[in-house]
Amino acid sequence: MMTASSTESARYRRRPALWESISPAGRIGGVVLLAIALAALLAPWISPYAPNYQQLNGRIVPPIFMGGSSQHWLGTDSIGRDLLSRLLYGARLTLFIGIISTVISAVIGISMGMAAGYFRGRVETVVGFLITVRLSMPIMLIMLSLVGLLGNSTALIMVVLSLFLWDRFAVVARSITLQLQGREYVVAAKAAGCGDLRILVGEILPNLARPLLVVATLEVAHAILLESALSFLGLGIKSPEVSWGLMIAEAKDLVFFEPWMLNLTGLMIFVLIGAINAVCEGLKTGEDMQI
Amino acid sequence: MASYLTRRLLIAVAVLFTISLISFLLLKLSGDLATALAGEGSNAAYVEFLRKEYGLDRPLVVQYASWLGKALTGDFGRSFYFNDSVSLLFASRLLVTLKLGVLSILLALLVALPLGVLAALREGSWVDRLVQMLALTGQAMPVFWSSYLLILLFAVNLGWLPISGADSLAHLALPACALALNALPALLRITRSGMSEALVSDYVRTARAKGLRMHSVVFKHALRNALVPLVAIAAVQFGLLLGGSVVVETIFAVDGIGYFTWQAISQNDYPVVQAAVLIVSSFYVLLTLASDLLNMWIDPRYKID
Repeated sequence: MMTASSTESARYRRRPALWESISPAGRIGGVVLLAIALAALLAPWISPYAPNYQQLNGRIVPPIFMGGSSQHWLGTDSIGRDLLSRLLYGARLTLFIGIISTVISAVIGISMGMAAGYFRGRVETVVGFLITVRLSMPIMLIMLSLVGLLGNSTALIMVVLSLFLWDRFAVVARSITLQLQGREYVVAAKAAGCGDLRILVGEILPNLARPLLVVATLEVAHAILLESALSFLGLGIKSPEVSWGLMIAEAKDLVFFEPWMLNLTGLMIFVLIGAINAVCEGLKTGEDMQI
Repeated sequence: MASYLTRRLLIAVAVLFTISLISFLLLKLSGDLATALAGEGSNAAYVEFLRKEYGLDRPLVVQYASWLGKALTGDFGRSFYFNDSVSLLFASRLLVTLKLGVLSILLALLVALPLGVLAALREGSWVDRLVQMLALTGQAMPVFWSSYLLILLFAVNLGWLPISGADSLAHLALPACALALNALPALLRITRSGMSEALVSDYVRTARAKGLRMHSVVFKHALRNALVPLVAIAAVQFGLLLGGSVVVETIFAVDGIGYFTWQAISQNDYPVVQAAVLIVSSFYVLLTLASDLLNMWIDPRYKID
């Protein structure tokens, strides 16, 4: 019992609650991010219209703060769709793509990085080479060509993103696994006859959690920006689906006449990415990243 | 050092080889070229004819080897859409993109170096906070939005600069600004952190203790060391600008490789797409190599091993 309680208190000292360890700016970012995620989740219940509902006699209504009507708080687009509803629904796909692609690339990158740092030798050489190859590939051009030539579907976009966003996970996982090699608990687990997989997953992986969370926030932002750039170029999300990138693409034709339409969506992407980055910075600086 | 160099070069060649293989296979994967070329509703005999004509009936390995062999001599085949030599089509556009890239990275460095150094010298001051704000803003700003904001402000409202084209330096000013804002955060951060690390180091303390003036310590001792990571990051950012200028080039109608590749993709112009990937990758690899060499020259510690 005694040993159990002392490890309990040691763990408590080592890891304060996630929220407490984040810097104030990071907390603000977290709240904004949570609000956007909540709005996205609740979109079917809180949005005033369906995302593709057209009101043909109410096209290009300006937002309410620019003299619009109270029926459409953020106005309507060139074919009479309510922008607030589209933003709410668009957030769903935008966040979904960002998160799912990051999770898949995390699995790829973390397994490669941990294997490299743990087994060393030839495994490390191969993984290191693959990382160099990935970093030497122009991600935007290759994504464009793949999506352009294979036909753009949401699933394909997520697959392609996942194939290109694993490098930072691999680099971080490798270097930390390397550092942890000589720790007592890893040596002890080896001495106790634990298998490699058990040591990797049970002893090393938990220590990677926080730094990998930092990488994950970065990559979610990266994925969202790439998806919106693809959609902007007409090679990403297609109507009737909605994403913020697609909304920018639709608003750009009107940019010289109704700039607010593009600015509204641009601002939303800016706020979302800013919030994610703030969380990332907060995670990094709140507690020293000693592992 | 010689062995280090040979190893670096060998890795660079291997990386390029792998990328050429990957891009070749990926494009093969994307469908039957002959059918795509023949167009919808064409008869089987014509598809067969095209398949023979373009050598697509040969085994994959042979196709790859002949493509790579020609690519090494600078021959990337003919564009399906423009019906011209791909290398020729690229040459002029590469120059445009390079011009835009150099302009953007210079602009970003021009802002990042002095601000980053100042922020490190006065940690916690308003300059420091401004730098952090600028870095956060630049990082969160999607390049398609910043491009339009620049157009709306400087071209539409103020009428100072042209909206599109690449004929003169004035035409490139706005796209270069948009791209520079993209590269700025990484450069600002690395200058600031490199500089503040150097300022608390032993050699700077010694230099100060010897009675050297602050500015000579800052510029001769600290900055030189802070430059090492900056050079590496600047090289990477320059590479990213070349590959990532697609969006900016389409918005500003700059006829560089990004815009060209985007057009080629919409036309299923495989030879152009393949060449684009390989050419830009080569630039990435060369830039990393160049930054390593430059760092060897700046940082004498490299010369020991």
